[in-house]
Order: sequence, then C-alpha cells, then structure tokens
Amino acid sequence: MSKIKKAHVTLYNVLFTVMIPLCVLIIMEMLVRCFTGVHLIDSQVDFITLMRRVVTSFCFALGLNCNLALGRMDLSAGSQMYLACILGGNLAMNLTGSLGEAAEGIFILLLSMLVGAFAGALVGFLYVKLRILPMVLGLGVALVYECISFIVNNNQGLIMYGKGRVLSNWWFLGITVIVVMAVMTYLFQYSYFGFNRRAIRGNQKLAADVGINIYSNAVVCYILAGVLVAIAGIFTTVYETRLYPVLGMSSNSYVFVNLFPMAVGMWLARKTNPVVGIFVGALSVQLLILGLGKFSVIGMSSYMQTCIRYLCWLVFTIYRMNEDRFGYAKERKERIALAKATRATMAAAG
Amino acid sequence: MKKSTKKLMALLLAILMLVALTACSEQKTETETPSSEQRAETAGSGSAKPEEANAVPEKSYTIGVAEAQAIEDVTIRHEYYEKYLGPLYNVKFIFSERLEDDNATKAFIENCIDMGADAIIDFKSCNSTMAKLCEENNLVYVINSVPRSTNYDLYEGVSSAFAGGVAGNMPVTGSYIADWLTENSSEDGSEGFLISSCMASTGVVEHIEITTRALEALQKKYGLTYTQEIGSIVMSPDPVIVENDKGINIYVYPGSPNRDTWLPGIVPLLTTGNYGFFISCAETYDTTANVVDEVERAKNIDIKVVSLGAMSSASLAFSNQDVHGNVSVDLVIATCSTAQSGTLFAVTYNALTNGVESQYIDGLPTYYTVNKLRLAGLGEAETLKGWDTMQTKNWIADQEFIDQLLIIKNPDLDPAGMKEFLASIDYDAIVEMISR
Repeated sequence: MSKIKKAHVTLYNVLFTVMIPLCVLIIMEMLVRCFTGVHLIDSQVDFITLMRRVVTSFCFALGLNCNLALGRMDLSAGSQMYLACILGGNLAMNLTGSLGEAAEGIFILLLSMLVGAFAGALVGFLYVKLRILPMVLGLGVALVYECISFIVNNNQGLIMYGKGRVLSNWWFLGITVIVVMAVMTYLFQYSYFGFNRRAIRGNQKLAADVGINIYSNAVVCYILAGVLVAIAGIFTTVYETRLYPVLGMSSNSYVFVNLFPMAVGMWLARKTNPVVGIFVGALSVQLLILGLGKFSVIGMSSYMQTCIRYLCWLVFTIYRMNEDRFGYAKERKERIALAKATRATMAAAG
Repeated sequence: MKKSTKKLMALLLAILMLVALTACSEQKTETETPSSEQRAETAGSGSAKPEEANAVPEKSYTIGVAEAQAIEDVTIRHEYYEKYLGPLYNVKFIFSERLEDDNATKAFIENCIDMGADAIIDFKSCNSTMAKLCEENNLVYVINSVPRSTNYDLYEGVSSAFAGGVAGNMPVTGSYIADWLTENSSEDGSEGFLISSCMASTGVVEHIEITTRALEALQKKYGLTYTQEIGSIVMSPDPVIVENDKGINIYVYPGSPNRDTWLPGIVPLLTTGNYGFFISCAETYDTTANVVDEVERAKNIDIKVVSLGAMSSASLAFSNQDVHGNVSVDLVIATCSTAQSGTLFAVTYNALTNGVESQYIDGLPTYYTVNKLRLAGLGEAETLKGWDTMQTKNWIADQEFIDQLLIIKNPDLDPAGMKEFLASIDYDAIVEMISR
C-alpha cells in the first residue's frame, strides 16, 4: 500500500474513532438543550464528573477486555474490585498513620492495586490448574471474595469520608488515564505478552503448538484485570466516600454495567487498538449517561434513564450482529451492477 | 503440582493471610471519657446496693436479631448487645447477616428456633407473618417499627407473641428539620429546595414524616399553594417537580440511597446549581459530600445540607469546611444507637421475664419512640464524640439506663412509665448522663 493510501486509511480510522463520541456529544447536547434548557456540560462539575466516570468505566471495561477478548467471561471481576478496595484500602489506612493527605490517597490506590493483582492472580491460577470454565469459576470465586470483603472491617467495607481527596482532582484523573493508556497500550501492542495474547486470541491451539505458554499468559491477563478493576473501584469509592460490601453475587452488576462500553470499544478497536477503542467507547457511553442524567431536571426517573441506556445497548448489539449484512448487500449491489455493465458491453460488442 | 508452584502458592497464601490479619485489626484510640463500667462503679451511694443492682439474673435467655442493613450502627449494636448487655443480663444473642427479604427473615427465625431462641428482635420484615411464626414456636416478637401500612394488624393484637415496637421519634425528627428549615431559609425562597424522600414511597414512616414536614414548613413559610396534594408528592415513586403558585424551586427525589442509581440521579440535580438546600431522609451527607463541594466551587454558591446521620461521623462532617468556609453539613439528626437498641432489648426482656402482656396498654401492644439528637454544629457533635462507637465502646445507654426500663429492677414500671422515661431522653439529658 502506498504511503499516501496508508495516510488516508489512518486519517479515516482516526476520524471514525473521533466521530463516534463527537456524534454522541452533539446528539445529547441537542436533546438536553431542547428538553431541559441546559447544556450537556454546563460547568466544571459536569466535566469532572464525566472525567471520573470515564476513568472508572474505562479501567473496568479494559479489565474485562483482558479476559473476555480471549473467550474468558470473568464474572468475578466485580468481586475482585470489592476485595481489592476494601482489603487494600483498609490496610492502607491502617498503615499510613500520619502521612500527608496526598500520599495517603496514592498509597490507598497502590495497595488496592496490589491486592487486586493478588486477587486476579489467584483466579488465574485456579483457572489454569483446575481447568474450570471461566464463567463458572468466576461465579464461585465471586461468592468467596464477596464473603471475605464482608468480613473485613466489621462489615463496614471501605469508608473514605474525608480521605484521599487527591484522587478526586481532575488532574490526577487525567494523569491516571494517560498512565493506564500508555502502560496498557505497550503491554497489548508492543510487548511479547501482547504479541502472544493476540496469537492466542487468533487460535489458541495453534498458539500452544508453536510454543506460546498459554497458561502464563492467562494468569497475567487475570492479574492485569485485577489491577484495573481495583483502580476503577478506588476512584468510585473516593467519589461516593464509601464502598459497602455486597453478598449474593451482587458484585456482578459492575460487570454487566461495563459490558456496554467494552462492546463499543471493541467495535472501535478495529480502527485503532483495543485500549484507545475502549477509552473512546467509555467516553461515548458516559456522554450518553451524562445526557440522560440531565433529564432528571424535568422529572425523568433514574430507572427510565437506565432503560433507555440499555435500549441503546440492545440496538447497538443488534447492529453489530447484523453489520455484515449491510456490507454484503452493498457488495451484492455492486456485483449486480458490474454484471449488468459487462452484459451490456458484451451485447454492444457482439 | 510442581514443587516451585507449591512454594509460590504457599508464599502467596502466607502474604494474603498477613494482609488479611492486618486489615482486620482494630485501631484502639485512647479517650479521656470514662467507660460505662467506670461510671457505674463510681455511681453515688444513693443507688441500690452494688451487689443487688449489678447481680446477673440466673435465668438465661437467647434472643435472635434479624438485621436489615450492614451499616456501622449494626456493628455497634452487635458489640453492645453481645459484649455489654449479654453478660449483664445473662442473655445470648444470635445475629443474622443483612437480610434481603421476608423469605430470608423467615429462614433466620426458623434457624433461631432450632437453636433454642426465646425471642426475636426484627429490624427487617416487621410484619404479622413473622409474628405468627414466633407465636407457633413460643417466641416473643419485637420489631423496630412504629405502626404502618404493613403492620397495623400487629398493633391490633393479631398475634399473642408480639410485645411491641421501638423506633425513632418521627414527629420530633420531622419538627427538627421543619424548624431548622423555617429559620434558615431565605425570605423569598429563591435558593431552591431539593428533598431526597428516599423510601417514603415504599412506606418508611420516618422518610414520609420528614418529607411531609419539610414540605409543610415551606408551604407555611412562603404561603405556597401546591398543585398536588402533599401526600401524593411524598408517596410518589417518581421524581416530582413540586409546582406551586410562587414558582419556588422544590424537587422531591425518591429512591433508596443504597441503590446504585441514587447518586447518579441526585448529581445532575445538584449540578444545576438550582438548589441551595438539600434535605435528605437518610444518612447521605458523606455520599454527597464531594459532589456538593464541587458544585459549590463551580457555581460559587453555598448549599446547605440536612441529613440523618451517625454520631460517629457527625464531628468529622462538621469539621469539613466547604469553599466558602462554611461547614459542609448544616444539620445532622443522629440516632443514639444504644438508646434505641437498648430500648428494644428492654421491651424484649420485659416480655420474657414478665410476659408479653406486661408491655401492653389497654390490652393491646404499643410502640415506644426514642428521640433522635439534633446536631447543628461542631460543638454539639464534639460533645458526643467517643460515645457509642466501636473504637471506645463507651455506651450512652449503660446499665443504669437499661435498668430504668426493666420491670425486674422496677416492679411498678409499666409501658406508660417507660414512654415517659424515653420522652425525657434528649440531647441535654444525654449530655448530662455522659458528664456524670
């Protein structure tokens, strides 16, 4: 492919990736302005709220993608988040003592990431050793992790009221996104781990036959997922000031809520890469949610907003499942036109 | 399994154990406030003979406690019941985890029956179905609820196992908020009022009372005529823009703060900057602290926050200042955990020792209300700091308090006397108690 054509393709991919959130922004801005009279992003608060939600959604969706892209539906991701935040956060608060506020917040984040890594590593280890179906294993582990989270800190979970305020700052959120994107892009796209992961994703048996260690790759994927969901959980907890433990697999709600941005991200990843795609997907979905939230001003209940959000997901899923048909119909039309033109030419010649 | 893998697993599990043990450790904070036991020991000579007053009853009882939530108050109650009241009155307790629904409550009560329980204190279901189950198995049944639509029949004597109910004093709570609102809102109401009615639409009496009183206070202050009945506004399961003839911004937002959808629903309303007052029927000042702070900074307004709360976090809430230098929460209505839990225990214990009828008035079960505490500043919150907390284990409702509610200590005591005592327990009375 010539350089010019490559540049065109790259430009097209970039524009396509940017157009999706831009379209969502424009549509929601028009709807919000029309029905409520306010702007979609009306103040700095909306901007910071959007940033925070994008960061948490991006991290969680990326964490899900670590395994889901390779055919492993990890339903324990939510419980890993709870365990990492509650155990890691409380441990950090017990150990920090008289550290400054900023240092305390960062330490809470780092220790939660460490506990998340352990939690993910354990699930990965169990997966490769026991060879249980990932979904089934995820359900079982979710129950165990939820119980452990419940026991820690006298059932109070993690209370961060008045703590870790640095984690709410917009610049810290921005730095976190940049660091996560840089690290994960390197890991997924330029490292041996990433190469092997893509090979396994293509065909696991072939990858194993050529000597790739599919087991260690799986464990590393689970570790990365644990770290990412821990980051998501800490930012959510800092904003809401507390994270109560749950039981009965209620932690799965985080998994299902973040499947939408992940699905949009993987669709966009065809034009860029999974990390950028999922970021843009998270941004698009959170713009949708921010816009729907504005309708509270005119009395729309949060349940209706949730219904609309999941309706959009349904429509998107239906489109994705039938996307090939549009291309097929277009190609068929072109073939028929070519056949008619050829026949006309032959008739004219003959 | 390979040796190296075994070693790695052993190391990982050892680290996990170390981490779990460290995370589970409690911080012991030293405080100068004397413990409840020390206060009992230093009580004046005017009290009854120490050996009689403090004698542990010979008969042992077992009480099952069906919990509805997993909040700090629950943890405090468990510690208070098991470690303080249990040894004093020779009572064992069986605690449930957070119960999701009536089926879970029923399963817990059945387990308690199998374990030989004598009574059930129900925080979750509070209905005649559970009372009937207790009645069939000769258990006493006490609830944490005043009469409401789901349990009126209990107070009409439908079950002989039902000894009564205990709850917060709703009218007084509502009046605290209504009076504060009347005093602190502006002359023209231009600042706007956002009321989170929480679970009023599902019949929670306290939330109904607070929302109703707040709306009535606004109606009275500004001479408003609402286009809808206050009752229908309060009981609405959907958000309501309360339309009125003066065009004052009033918004009632329902929904349990425990649900994931609550905060995302409140945030857009607060970020409009149209509401200078945020009144919540549940303990939400910490959940909304960050968004309120961000809105105040962005819009350069001062949002006054009123909320129910816990004594343990109230002083921290009043210590935090917003961008204008004002406290981040303006009024907290706090529950005295041990007063309410202790009263529930006392009603149950009286029913066990003297029969369920000892708790009846005019032949029917009754309910007891415990005043909540009005904390409007750091000073008031600081006075109660260190009391009714897990860290210090200083209990406001000590043995002296409980003994005043027990028939075995006061043979002439009747439910009316108990109500009179409870009505006298307010902030000033508690301050006096803890200062002794």
